[in-house]
Amino acid sequence: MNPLRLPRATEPQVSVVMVTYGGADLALEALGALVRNTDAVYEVIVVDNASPDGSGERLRAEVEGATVVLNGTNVGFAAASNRGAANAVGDHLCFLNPDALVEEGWLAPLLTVLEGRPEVGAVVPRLLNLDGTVQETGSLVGRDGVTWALGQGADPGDPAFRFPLTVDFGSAACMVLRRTTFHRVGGFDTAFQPAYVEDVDLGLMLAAAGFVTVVEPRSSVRHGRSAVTGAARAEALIRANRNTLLDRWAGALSDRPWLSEPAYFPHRVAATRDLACPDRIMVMADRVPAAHAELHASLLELAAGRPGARVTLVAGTGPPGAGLDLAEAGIEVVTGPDAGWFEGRRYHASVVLATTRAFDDLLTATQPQATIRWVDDLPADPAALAALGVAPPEHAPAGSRDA
Amino acid sequence: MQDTPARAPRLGLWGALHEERLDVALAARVTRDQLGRRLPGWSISLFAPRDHLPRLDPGGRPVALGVWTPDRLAELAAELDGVIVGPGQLVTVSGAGWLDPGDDAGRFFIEGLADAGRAVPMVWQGISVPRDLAPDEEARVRKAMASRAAISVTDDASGRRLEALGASVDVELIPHPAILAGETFPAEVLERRLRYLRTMGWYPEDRPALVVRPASGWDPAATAGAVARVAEGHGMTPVVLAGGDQEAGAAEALAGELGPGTLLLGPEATVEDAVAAVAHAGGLMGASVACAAVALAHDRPHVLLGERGQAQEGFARMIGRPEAVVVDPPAIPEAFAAAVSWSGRGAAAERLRLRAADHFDDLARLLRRAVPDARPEPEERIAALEEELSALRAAYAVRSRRLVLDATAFADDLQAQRLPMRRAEELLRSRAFRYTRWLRSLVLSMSRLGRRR
Repeated sequence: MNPLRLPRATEPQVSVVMVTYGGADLALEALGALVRNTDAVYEVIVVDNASPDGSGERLRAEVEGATVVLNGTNVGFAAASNRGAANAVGDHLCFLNPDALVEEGWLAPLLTVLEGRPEVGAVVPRLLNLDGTVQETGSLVGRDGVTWALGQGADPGDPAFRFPLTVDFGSAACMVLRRTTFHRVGGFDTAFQPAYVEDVDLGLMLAAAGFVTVVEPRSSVRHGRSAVTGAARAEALIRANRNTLLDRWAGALSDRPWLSEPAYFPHRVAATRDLACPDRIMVMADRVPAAHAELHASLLELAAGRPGARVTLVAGTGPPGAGLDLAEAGIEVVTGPDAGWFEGRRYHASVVLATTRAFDDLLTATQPQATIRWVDDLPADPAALAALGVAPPEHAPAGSRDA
Repeated sequence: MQDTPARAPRLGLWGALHEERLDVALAARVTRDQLGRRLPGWSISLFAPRDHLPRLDPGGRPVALGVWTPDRLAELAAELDGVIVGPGQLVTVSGAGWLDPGDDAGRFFIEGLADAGRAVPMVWQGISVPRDLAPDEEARVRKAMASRAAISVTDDASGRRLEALGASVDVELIPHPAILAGETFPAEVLERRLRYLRTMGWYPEDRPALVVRPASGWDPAATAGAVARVAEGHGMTPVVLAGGDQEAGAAEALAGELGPGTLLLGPEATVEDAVAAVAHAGGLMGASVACAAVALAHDRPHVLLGERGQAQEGFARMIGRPEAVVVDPPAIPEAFAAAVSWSGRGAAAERLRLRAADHFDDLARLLRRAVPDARPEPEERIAALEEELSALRAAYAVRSRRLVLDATAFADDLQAQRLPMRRAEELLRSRAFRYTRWLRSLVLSMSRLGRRR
């Protein structure tokens, strides 16, 4: 068999750390995707947790150019990841699961975020299931330690899950951090054994140190969730490690909504997601505006001036893929929402600017707390917006706020 | 005419930050942290002879100093508003150190920015001069000292050597910055690193650790004998700590001599790992003054393995315990026993912490003075308003968060009231209920039939 050749770099920009426990075939596939789809200068460090099937030795034999560290025992995901990080010399660390297949152009958007925004502690891509549907676009954690993966099961083309946003944590299936930041917060905590929930803990640790975790959906990685561990075992490990998480972070988590039973309490997800957004502006329109439309320009203006705000365009219709440019500019674009969607935003918006009467009944029922203004056109002028109840644009130092 | 917008003042930390050396990385991390706290708004960058981010992360990738040419010096002088050089050795015990005439990087550390940097204050921080200088070295150092804004050393012998050259500024004797490690490395970070080290089997679970940093020139076999006696006598497990690649061989040799039961914290250990290992140890012995400062800061008994006239003695005198230094292995057990029973450790740590904090206060003051705020008055006013605006935004964010939480609580209440109805609706739609209804109607029909008969 021909060995997989990885580039050798003396001064890598990124150190990719992959922890294995069995599943050499998966790891080889993941490393193959990495080689095909990565432009940056990188090194690969594989840390094998004493795979009983000899995966570590096999990877050492079949992968050229990677550092393969063989642990004598299975020390768990956190410890093995920390060991990989300790062997890294890149400016950035990328933790990549062996069942994660990076897609073309995955790394550049992540590095752009990390290098341009010092307040970002970790950045994660959009994770896709192997069938192409969305697995998650970042995750949230509630007061009860329950986590929620945003966008799960969504159509990958839906612009509603294509906007960059701050989340509570990102999956360690693929996560990029500055090496300095990772060390500064102490790395992954080995209290979470043998795996799972350590990424939630890391997100909270980053937040406690003043950093944010950001999801950059222009980067995509396919991930076979629990392909190595198995779904049932993964679920059991998550439940067990959640108690450790609550022991440690109950105080910090007490100031946020519960996330359990989202089927009965659907509003909790959006509330948790937008907890740090001082303004939650909902713009109602009949259709997603075309790029040349006045509404399009006004929305961009509205979002650009308020980088901390959540701007949501709620449109009755829109051709497939419409609104992607708005989403990439940081605007949440929702097309054809039903009553269930509005139920998920109950008491959510601070301001609603409606250019249509199409959603009046739903707005009245679910957003009674909001300042609702009906306008013929969305004004771009700050004074006119202020008159409608929208806070003035922020004049903030670059890089100090959320996208 | 349009004014150029004022840029944030920039400070450069210069040193051998590209090397895998624990003491250097540790000092850089603490110095950057301390000055960062005192100089808000300043940008602090690392510079080293090579653009290389070592595994022992000094706090970020250092910028390469480049070649000591007039163009490069002018470039650096334009870029920086202040330079801190150190810690480091002007000379080594038996060699030239930074004063090596063939070492281009040494010219940055000694001659600095030369004439190009007249307006850029340059400070020698924690400099060490472990031997007397040769006449040509003296001349170079004397000339360099004339252009230093401040000079500090971490041992009195180095201070005396520099003062003898006729320094134009006071040579300040300061504790090693690592005495302030507790502020840079929070307890929760050290605890999670400790859990990691224990998970890896590199740190003892059941007994206190006796952390040993090997001392260069010390015979591993003789050192191991003394360390083993201390470990046995105090019920500790020896943990040999390599402070980077350069010490890995010595650490392995010592661990090998100590034999089974000894743990090795090799070159894979990060700065946090090393600090955690020392901060939680039952005791420390080694040549590293940086580690001794960490041990003192965390109230751990420590013994310095050194040579006469070197930095270890300076540190021991600073804490008021000259006997904390041993120069040959047989003296180790007795010195360690004395260190364990020393009651003045807490007071000495506090005194050194205050002294180090004062030093950083002075340094920050010096740098601020040397970089007068060139911004005209309206811009100062704008800066004040921006600060006020930032505080208002923070208050607005807190209020907004509160509103979201309150709104969520209202929505929770509403949904909780609807919950029994929703669950009943679900039950009505459920397969079980359909089956029950069918069963119920069957029973009903049968009962009607029975009545007819």
